[in-house]
Amino acid sequence: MRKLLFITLGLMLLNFFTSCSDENSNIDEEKVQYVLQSKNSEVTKAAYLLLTPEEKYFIWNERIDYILSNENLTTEQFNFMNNLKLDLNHSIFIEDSTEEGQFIEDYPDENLSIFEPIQAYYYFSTLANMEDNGTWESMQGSGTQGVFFYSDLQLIADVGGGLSCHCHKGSIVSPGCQYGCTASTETKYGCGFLWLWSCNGRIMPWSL
Amino acid sequence: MNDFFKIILLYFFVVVLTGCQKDGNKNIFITKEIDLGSVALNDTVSVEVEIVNPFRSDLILKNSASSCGCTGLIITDSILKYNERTIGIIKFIPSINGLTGNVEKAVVLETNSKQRFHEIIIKASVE
Repeated sequence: MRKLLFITLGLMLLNFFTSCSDENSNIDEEKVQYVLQSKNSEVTKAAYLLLTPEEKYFIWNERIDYILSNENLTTEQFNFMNNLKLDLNHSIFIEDSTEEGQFIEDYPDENLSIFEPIQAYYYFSTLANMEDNGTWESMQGSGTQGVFFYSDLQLIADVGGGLSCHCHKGSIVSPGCQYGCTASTETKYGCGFLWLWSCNGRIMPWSL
Repeated sequence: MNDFFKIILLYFFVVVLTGCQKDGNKNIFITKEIDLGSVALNDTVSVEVEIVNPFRSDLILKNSASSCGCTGLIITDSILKYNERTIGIIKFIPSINGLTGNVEKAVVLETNSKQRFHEIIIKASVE
C-alpha cells in the first residue's frame, strides 16, 4: 500500500515538473526557432515582428556570442563586439524607449566602418545561420558578392529606391523609422539592427 | 483502498499520455499563396483569404504580422470552432514601400494549434 502511495506521489511530481514546461521562461523557444529556421526571408521578417523585446535580444545576443567565438576579428572589431554585447539589453528593442534613444546615440553607424561592408551586412543585417553559411571570409573567398550574395543570405530588408520610407516599423530592419522619410529627406536614423539601413530605401546599407 | 490507488494511477497515466496533446499539423489557410498579378503602384488591393479550423478544439487566432508595412491581414473573428470558417482581408498597398517589379510578401499568423505559425505568401507584379 505504501509503495503504491509513493509511486502515485512520484508520478504527480513528475507530471507537475514536466507537463507543458515551456511556460517557465521568458523566451518562447518555439517562436525563436521558427524565426531562425525559416527559409523564406519574407516569412523571417514577418515572424520577427511576433517576437518580444526579450526574444529579439536573445537572438542578437546569441549571434554576437557566435561571432565572438567563431569569426576572425581584428582587435578593434573584437572590442566593438564586446562593448556591443555589454550594451545590449531587451529595452533597446522597445520602440521609442529611452534606452533605444540612448543606444542610437551610442552606436552611430559610422562605427561600423571598422568592418568590411559585406561582413557588417552578414553580421547585423541578416539572420542567416552562420554555422551553415560559414565565416564571412569564407563567403568572400567563394566570390559570393553583390545582390545575389544578399539574396542568398535571406535578405532581411526591403531593397530598392522607394517613393517613401520602405522601412517597416518594428521589423528587423526598422526598429526606428519613426520619421516620415522620402528620397529627398534621407535620414541616418534609419532602420535595421544598428541602423544599417537609411530610411529612404537605398539599395545599400547606410555608410557601407 | 487498493482500487482507489489503481484509479489514481490510471488517471495519471491518462494525463501523462494525453495532457498536452493538440491536433497535428494542418493548414488553416485554404490558400498558401496568392498571386495578385499586375498591380499599379498607386493601387490598394484587398483580397479575401479563407481561414478554417480543421482542429477538434477551438482555434484562437492570436497574432499576425507581415513582412512589409505595405501588407496587412485584417481578421474580425479571433476564435473559430471546429470546422468553422472565417474570411480575412489582406490589404496590399505597394506605394508604401514604392517598389516596382516582382514583389513577394509574407503574412504570418500565430494560433494556439500545435502548428502555431501559419504562412501565406503574397505575390504581385507592381507597375
